[in-house]
Amino acid sequence: MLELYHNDMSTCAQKVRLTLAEKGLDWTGHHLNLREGPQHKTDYLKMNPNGVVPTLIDDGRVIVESTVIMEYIDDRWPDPSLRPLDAYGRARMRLWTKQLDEGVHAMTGVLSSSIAFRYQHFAIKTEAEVRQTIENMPDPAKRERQRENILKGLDSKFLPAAVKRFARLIGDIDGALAEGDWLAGNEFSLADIAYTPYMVRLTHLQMGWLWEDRPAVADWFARIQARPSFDAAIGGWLNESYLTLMAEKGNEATGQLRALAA
Amino acid sequence: MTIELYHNGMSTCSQKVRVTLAEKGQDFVSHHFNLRAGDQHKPEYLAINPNGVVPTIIHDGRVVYESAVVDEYLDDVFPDPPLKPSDPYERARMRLWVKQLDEGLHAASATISACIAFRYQFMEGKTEAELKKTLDGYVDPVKRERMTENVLAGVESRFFKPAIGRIVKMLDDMQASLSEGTWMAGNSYSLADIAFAPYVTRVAHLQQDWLFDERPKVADWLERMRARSAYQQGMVDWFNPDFLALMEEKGGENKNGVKAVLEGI
Repeated sequence: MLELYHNDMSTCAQKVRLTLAEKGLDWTGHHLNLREGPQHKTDYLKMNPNGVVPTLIDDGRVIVESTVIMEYIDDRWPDPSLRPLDAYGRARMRLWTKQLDEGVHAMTGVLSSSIAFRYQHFAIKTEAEVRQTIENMPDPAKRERQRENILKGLDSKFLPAAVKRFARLIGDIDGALAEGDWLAGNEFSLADIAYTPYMVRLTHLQMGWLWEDRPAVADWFARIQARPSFDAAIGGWLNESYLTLMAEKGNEATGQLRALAA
Repeated sequence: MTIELYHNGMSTCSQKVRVTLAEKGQDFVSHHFNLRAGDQHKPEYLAINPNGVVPTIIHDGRVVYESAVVDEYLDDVFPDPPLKPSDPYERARMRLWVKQLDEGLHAASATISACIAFRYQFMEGKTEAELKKTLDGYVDPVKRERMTENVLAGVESRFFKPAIGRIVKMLDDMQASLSEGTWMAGNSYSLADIAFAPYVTRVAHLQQDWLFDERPKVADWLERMRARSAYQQGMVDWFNPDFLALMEEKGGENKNGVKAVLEGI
C-alpha cells in the first residue's frame, strides 16, 4: 500500500502527487494542516526528521524529500518512464531538480510568506503564538527566513533576492525551451514535474508578468496544464481560501515586486 | 569517446568524480586547475561551467557539471560495475545522503577547511588588495561572503561553529546508518560512499580524527574505503603534499580550539 503525508497547497507535495498521477498509482492520503504545525509533532518527526511534507510510505518503507521520492517512484514503477532515456538528458534533468533544493524552493517560501501566507498566521493566532510557531521550526535557516517573512512581509530582507532569482530562473527556462520541448530535452520528465508547482505558485501570486514576454515559457506551462495529471494532482487540490488571499495580496504587491525584478 | 576532466587534486567534489571514474575503469584527459590562482573563475571556463567550480567533465563533446550529477551520469553511461543499489529503496537512501552534501555539508566542509588551514594559503604572499581580488572572484555571493570571513577570521568566524556542528552531525548520522549495514545506503557499496569519502578524509587531514574515537563504525568504513584501489587512484594519487603538511600543522595547532567550540554547542 502507498501512503502519502501531504498538504493540498504545498509545492513539494504537488510534485509528488503529479508523479503519482503520471504513473497512474493509487494512494491513501494523510492531509496535514501546515498552519497548525502537526508536521512538527513527535510521531511525524520520527518518519521525517526535517518536519516537512511530503513523506511517502511504500509497504512500510519511509521515503522523504520530494526530489528523492520522485526518483524513487520512477525506479519502483518504471512505466511510463519519467526520466530521459539517455544519460545526458538525465544529467540535464538532475541539474534542474537540484537547483530547486539549493535555493529556488526556499525562495518560493520567501515570496509566498512575505506576500500572502503571513496573513494566515495572524488570522488564527496571537502575535505571541505566531512567534512561537516560528521558533518551533526545526531548520535554523528556515526559521530565520520565516521570522523575517512572516513578521515583516514585503519588507523582508530576503524578498529582493528571491524576486531576482525567479526572474533569472524564468530566463533559464526560456533558454532551455529554445533547445527542446521540455526542460531536459525532447522528453517530458521529472524536471518538468518538479517546476510545475513553482509556476503555479507564481501564477497564484499574480506574478505571471515574469513570462509576459516569453511565449515559449507560457506555451510550455500550458502544455503541462493540459495533461490529465495536472488536475488530478494540483487542480483538484486547490484551496480556495489560499487562492483568494494570494490573488488579493499578490495584486497589491505587483508594483513593488516588478520594481524589485527590474 | 574521450573524457576530459577539469578538476583539482584536493577539491572534495573533484575527488568524488575521480573515484567514480576509477571504479568504472575510465581514463581521462586531465585539466588540473590551481584554485588559489583563480583558474576556475576565468571567462573561458565560466563559458562551460557558469558556477565557476570544479569539476566539469566533457564526454563525447557534452558538458556535465555538479559532482552529484556527474557521478549519476557516469553510472548511467558506464553501468558496469553498478554504483547504485539495485533496490529502489536503497537508491533513495543513497540519494538522500548525496543530496545533503549539496544542501549544506559541502559548504560546512569548505568552512572548516578554510578556517583551520586553507586561510593561510589565501593570505600567504598577498597584499590586502590582492587578497580582496581573489575573494571577490567567487561567483556565488553567499560563498563570497562566507569565504571572506573564514579567511580573515579563522576559527573565530561566525560560520565556523555551525559548520563544525554540521560535520559532527554527519559523523553521528553515518555511525547510526553504518550500524545497520556495511555501506551507507545499505548492503551495497554506492555513490553515497564515494561522495562522503572526501569529506570524512578531510576531517582526518585536518587532524580532527579524534572525532572517530566514539564513532568506530565510521573509522571502520573509512578503512574499507582506503583499501579500495579506486580510493588510491582517485584520491591519494592526487594528494598535494603541501596541502597535507599545512592541514597537519594547522590542524594540530587548532585542535584545542576546535574542541572548545564543540563544547560550546
